[in-house]
Amino acid sequence: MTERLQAPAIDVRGLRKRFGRTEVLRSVDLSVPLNSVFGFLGPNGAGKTTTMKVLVGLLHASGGSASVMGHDVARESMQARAVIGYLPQDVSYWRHLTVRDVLAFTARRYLDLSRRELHEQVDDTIELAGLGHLADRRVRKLSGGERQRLGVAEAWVGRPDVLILDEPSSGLDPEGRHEVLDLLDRLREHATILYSTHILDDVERIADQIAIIDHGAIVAAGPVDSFLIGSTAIYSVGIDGAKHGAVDLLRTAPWVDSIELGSDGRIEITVNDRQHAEHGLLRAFVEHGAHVTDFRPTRRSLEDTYLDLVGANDHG
Amino acid sequence: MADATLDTRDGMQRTEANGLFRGLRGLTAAESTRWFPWRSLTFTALGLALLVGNYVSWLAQKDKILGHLILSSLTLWVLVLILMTVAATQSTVAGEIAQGTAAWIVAKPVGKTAFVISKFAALIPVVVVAMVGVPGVVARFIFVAAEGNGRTEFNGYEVMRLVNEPSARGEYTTVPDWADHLGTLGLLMVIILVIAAAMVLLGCVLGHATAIFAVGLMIPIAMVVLALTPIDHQFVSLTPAWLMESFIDGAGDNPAPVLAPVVVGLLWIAGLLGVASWWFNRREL
Repeated sequence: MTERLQAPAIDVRGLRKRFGRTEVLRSVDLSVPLNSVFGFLGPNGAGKTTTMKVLVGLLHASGGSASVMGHDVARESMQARAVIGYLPQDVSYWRHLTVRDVLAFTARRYLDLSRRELHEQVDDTIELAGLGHLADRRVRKLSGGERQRLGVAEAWVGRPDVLILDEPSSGLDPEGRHEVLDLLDRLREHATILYSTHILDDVERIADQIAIIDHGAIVAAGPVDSFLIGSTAIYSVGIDGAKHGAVDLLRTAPWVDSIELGSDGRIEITVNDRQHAEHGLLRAFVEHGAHVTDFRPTRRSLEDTYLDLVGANDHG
Repeated sequence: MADATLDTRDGMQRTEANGLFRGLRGLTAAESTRWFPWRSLTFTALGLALLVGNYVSWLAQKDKILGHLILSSLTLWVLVLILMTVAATQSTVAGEIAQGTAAWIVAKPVGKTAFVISKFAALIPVVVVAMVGVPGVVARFIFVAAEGNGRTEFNGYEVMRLVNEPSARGEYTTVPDWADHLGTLGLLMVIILVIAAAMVLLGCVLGHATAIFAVGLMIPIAMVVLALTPIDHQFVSLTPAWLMESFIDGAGDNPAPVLAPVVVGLLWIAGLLGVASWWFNRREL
């Protein structure tokens, strides 16, 4: 039991998928920890949607294995789907259904509920998703943002252990995005969430873990913080007094990539080895008689790291 | 069939998680809602047209030319019936795959087989009630009102005899038509369901556009068949009565029991749906 609880919610190993001669997934390894919010990043056509579709049984893997909550998605597809709530990239509903109908229909597929319990379940979900005023509106009359919120709510109404959401906030205006992200934030206490997106700000805001996929293979994975810091970093240093001696010295250091002198007297130093930089930078300035008024690492954005990884892969 | 049912984190019980047919009842109920009211009303209208067509055809026996005209119009009616069935059912699977709603459904814990069968199962009550039940009940009252004894000339097996052998007309007033009427409607229902099962299979195998193309192809094929049919038979060649006769044994004066063609029809339906389910389970969405 303990082993089962400690196992990742989603475990993908060497997953491959071919469409004819095209190899869309080359070898995907992914481990989504239990109770995490996991951002799945990658450029268009990298394999995000294909991976997700294999997890929910819409596509059959050409090789490798994948399991969700311990259920192999190929051999135990039904059991795996019973614990997954899925929002496809372009979700389509039967147009004659209302919001309440959609949620009731989905809840019945997952849960063994009496009529009264079903109503309560649907009402709770409508409230959680902030869809109260739309409950009896037909889905064909919903706006894009409302439809996406319904999609997330619908994925959740069966109370799955794992939510797999394919670009839940794409194509939305800032307000719509904000609403969807808020909803995901509320759901993080209840389920493991794997979601794909192009919007890196969204990932920074709510994800605990990230994987970046490119050309059908994972190129990086880990906690969000590790992407924001990494081994490459930029230090911003405020100096009072002479600084050229220290700058000249630092230019020769192998762990310094570049130095930019700002008009306000600040110096921005890009280093490729944080460990050496932490000790060597301050010492160089102090030894050359400069008075350091301010010294701080500049936070590296996820976008920088993402572009480094995906860009490197493109040119590699 | 029972599965190790797991509770959700907040203690709710999940439905059983095994079986090809998991979710069949719910999916069928949901699919049925799509048939009401317009599609069902259309099928009801077609069922009533069958009734009226056959009743009027008897009345027209007193005038040969008028009879031929009416029987010819029934040819059109049968084409409409077949095309209506084809059009209504081809979209249930192929259309859903094209629109993405099939993926929306089968990503949930439901059997893909259940998805396919539900498309067909939802049609059964529509056909039984709208096409057969309503016209059947109406016919009961109409015939009783017309004849005063619950017996009429309406007999799907023997319309050709009625046309070809005017002397036979007298026989029909004594035929207990209610059973024959039900038999005819029952056979018609089986034919419609076989067509529907074939369309479900087509939807599983082909893309939406291809399925529509295949449906469209049926119209010129039907026209060619009609054109090649000898003129003496053309007036009645595609009428329901002729279809019934062909379906039984091709002999208008030797109607076989209804049971045999129904069993054959049901076997066809089972085979078509079996292949459709197998194919859909392999298909990626």
